[in-house]
Amino acid sequence: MIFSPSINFHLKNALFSFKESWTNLANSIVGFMLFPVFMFVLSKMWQKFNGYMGNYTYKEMLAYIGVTEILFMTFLRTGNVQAASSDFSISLARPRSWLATQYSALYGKTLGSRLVLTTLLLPLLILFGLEFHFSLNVIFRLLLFLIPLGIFQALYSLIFSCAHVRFEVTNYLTLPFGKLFLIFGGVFAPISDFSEPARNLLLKLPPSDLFFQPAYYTIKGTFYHLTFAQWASRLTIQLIILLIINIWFFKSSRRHHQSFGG
Amino acid sequence: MLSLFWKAIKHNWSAQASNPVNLWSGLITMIVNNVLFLYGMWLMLFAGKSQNQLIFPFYLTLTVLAYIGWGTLNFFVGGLKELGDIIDDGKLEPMLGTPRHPLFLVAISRSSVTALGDFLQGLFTLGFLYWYTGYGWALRATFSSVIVIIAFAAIFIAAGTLAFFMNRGASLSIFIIESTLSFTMYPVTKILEGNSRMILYLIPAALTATLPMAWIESANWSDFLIMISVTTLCFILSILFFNFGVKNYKASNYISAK
Repeated sequence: MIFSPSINFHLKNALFSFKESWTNLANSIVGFMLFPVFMFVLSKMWQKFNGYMGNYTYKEMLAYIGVTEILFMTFLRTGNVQAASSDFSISLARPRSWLATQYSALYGKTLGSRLVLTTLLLPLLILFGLEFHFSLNVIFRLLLFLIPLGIFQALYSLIFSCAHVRFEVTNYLTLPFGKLFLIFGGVFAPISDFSEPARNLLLKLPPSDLFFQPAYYTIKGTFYHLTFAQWASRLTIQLIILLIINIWFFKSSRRHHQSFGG
Repeated sequence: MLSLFWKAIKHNWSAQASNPVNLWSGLITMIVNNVLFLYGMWLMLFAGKSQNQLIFPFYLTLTVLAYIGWGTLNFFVGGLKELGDIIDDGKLEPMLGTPRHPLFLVAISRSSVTALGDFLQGLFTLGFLYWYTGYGWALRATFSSVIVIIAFAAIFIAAGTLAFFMNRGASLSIFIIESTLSFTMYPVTKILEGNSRMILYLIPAALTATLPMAWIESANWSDFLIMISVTTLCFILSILFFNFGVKNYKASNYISAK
């Protein structure tokens, strides 16, 4: 009962941010224009250079790239990271936890923008010539992942928001960090097609659990060399580590916070 | 004009250098970012895949063209990439009342320090090409990089000018510029076959990737002349297009004044 008003507040905060992504659909669609270009180029590139392995069909690859691009295009957005830390000084005087408020806002934004992109992916897959039934399956499986994966996206973004509270310039940090997830997460192409020893190593790293494994599941219906329980337990460990990093970083950033002017 | 150009570069650079943390973090992270991207592409296309090794110099050359073209332009005349936004935000209007050409003023109005990271990455990769492929190929890549700078400028101008004629012109301009960069960075000319290859000559990346790579691979005079003449023609046309846009431009405050 003690926590219920607070939980109510954060749920409403998440819902408010969720709705924000749906308010300007025209802008979302314009931002979406590069999406089919990447799907086409990366799938064709895979077909030419890795297609001989026979692990995927061209149509499966189109869906795979579509899914990973949705997850990556909404991962560590600089605007969201900076917006989260913009009111920090004022938030010190508020009766709510800054960390929890920003987390709920980031989660709502992530879920909202990913749902917008997922809705747009279905007609795009059909336009690329994928069967309706297969496309619907891909979208349905992706929807199942959006809620748990949003938790991790918000936690990673929150680390950078905490960094922005402490350091004046952090926007350059997100670029190479995002690139690490792009490469090690198998956004360009499935990790399963990489050669050894890279494949073995990348499959053990956290980015593969957030990008490659969910995308593989959406097209194949199973995880790659992993059971659901193993995937869930790996994510749980990642979650605990991210929570600890966030709390420690927040406390440290609050101690060293300087307001850099209006 | 040249003196104003150097003054603008000097002032843009000193403005960025006044915040050394910002400058060095931007520069270093851009180089790290580019190296990671290169490593990712190597993992995906070449690592342990002997049948793809023939494409490796081709891919490296594409990155040289993209990094040097993009980096040089955005560092020295970074305003061109923002042309659409500058028109949309009404920042072009003060530039119209000066004796200088507005496009020149737009060009020198901004400079991106991270673009210097791209440029350095391009130079380093070009140096590697001299060692890896031999002088003929690398010299053609060097010359083509200069041509690609002009090609990118033509694309930036033409795409940004669209903001004169449509509501979401700035967004469309970003789309055209970003997709051109993507088509230049990925070895698209090697993956399309048959009739779909025609696309490569119809998109803006024809100027930044298809035509230069055709000459670098063939070393033919005809390919060289086609690359030079098409790029020059497109550059001139893009300036004429901008002039046409300025001539028909109705600024929002002009309308409200009426």
